[in-house]
Amino acid sequence: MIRTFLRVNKLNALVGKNSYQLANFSRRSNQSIQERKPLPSRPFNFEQDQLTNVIESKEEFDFVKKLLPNLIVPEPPKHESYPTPSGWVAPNYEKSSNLSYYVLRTRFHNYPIYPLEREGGSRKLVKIKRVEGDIWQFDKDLRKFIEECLEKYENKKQTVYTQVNEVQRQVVVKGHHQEYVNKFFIECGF
Amino acid sequence: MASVEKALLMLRNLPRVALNNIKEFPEVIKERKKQHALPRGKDAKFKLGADHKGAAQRMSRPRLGFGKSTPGYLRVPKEYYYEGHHLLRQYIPISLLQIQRLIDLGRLNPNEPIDLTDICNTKVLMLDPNKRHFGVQLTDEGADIFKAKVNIEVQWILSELTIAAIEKNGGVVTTKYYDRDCVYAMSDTINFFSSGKPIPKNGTPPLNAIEYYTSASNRGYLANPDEIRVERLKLAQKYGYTLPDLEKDPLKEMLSKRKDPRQIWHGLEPGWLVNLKDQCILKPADKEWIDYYKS
Repeated sequence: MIRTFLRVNKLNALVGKNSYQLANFSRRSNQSIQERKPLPSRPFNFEQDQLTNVIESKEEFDFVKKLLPNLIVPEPPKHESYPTPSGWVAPNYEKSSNLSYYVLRTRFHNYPIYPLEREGGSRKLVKIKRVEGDIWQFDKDLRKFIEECLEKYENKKQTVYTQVNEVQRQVVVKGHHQEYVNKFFIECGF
Repeated sequence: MASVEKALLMLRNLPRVALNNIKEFPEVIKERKKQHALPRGKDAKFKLGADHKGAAQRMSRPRLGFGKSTPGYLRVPKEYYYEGHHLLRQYIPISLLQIQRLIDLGRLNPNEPIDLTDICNTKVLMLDPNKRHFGVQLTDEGADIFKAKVNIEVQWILSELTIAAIEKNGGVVTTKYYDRDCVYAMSDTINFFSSGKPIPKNGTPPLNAIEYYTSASNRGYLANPDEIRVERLKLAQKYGYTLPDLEKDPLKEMLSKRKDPRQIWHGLEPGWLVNLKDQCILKPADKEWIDYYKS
């Protein structure tokens, strides 16, 4: 019985009146609990001399509002030209409307491209998430684009291998080709 | 050639007699050895090495460095490699590239002074004052692409390229020290305001940081502003760019905003109490409190 009382005490302190309802749900014998009154608030027995005067003002509260964090990632502003100085590109819907697939951005407005390393760094992969639409066509175009890039910039003739996860809407590319994947996304207008 | 001449020629080429190539007679050496050597065999008074009794035979002597009143590891003086390492101040790095990206995405406002609170409010860094993090340090990564004009305040800058990249665009940098209590308040404002404590008064920098924050080349907040003006010009000549005139700038009012050394937020003074629920500020009117929080 002592244990239940302690519990109710804690609830009182936290939630106040609502704690009665919570206690009613949890315990069968309600009578003793219902009779209890809420705990008295903290005693204020200060004399007048111990308290100091304060001035209340609402003018400076605008400065406080600037200090509070924005709990949601804001929408990026419109720029005159892209890419921006830091290399960020806004999605171009005119370009991507012709395609049968689409890649969504992350909540931080970046591309969902993740370079990975497996087998202690010997197996290098790039994972692409959030692929929408015809994922097989996307996979085919991506492979073709990377192969062309490799021939153009690195003078290498090699086939690029990918894994398609149709259920989770992900594609994994073998080799650290994240820069070419990035280029492909910009060209598609994602 | 006569045989005499030959012999003389040979003598000339032979090594001279010196202390390094003369030796005692073998009998003398033998005698000396006999005198100094310990008697062995049947003449020996005690056995050399492990005896047939005791700790030496049973190999139970204390290991090297022990067996005396002060053991070896206490007798030898030592210098700890990481001595005082846990007391050092830590500054979390943030690059110019990161700052530029945050400005591009609208998460930092370049039209208002940027300080530690603004950077913490973006939630990009894992700043934890409990781990002796005293703020952020600006690194020079992305100095070439940096284009924003900002009035930024950080806690530490190591490379002057960082300063040059900001001042080239007409911006302003200052390095400012914040107390541990102030960093607690600035890193998580909602948590601090709801705790019901008055805004803290910033402390003075510790002894080993006073030199950094009073020097104009680091743009310290305690440096002489006239010296900072000279240093700005010097850096511009070193890196070869013309300094934009701050007085003709449309954003002059924002760029010339500085905090008091004791102050931690613009427009708010230490000692004020913020009430988030009623959206008001309580200022102390008592003379003792005002004197305490005076800078």
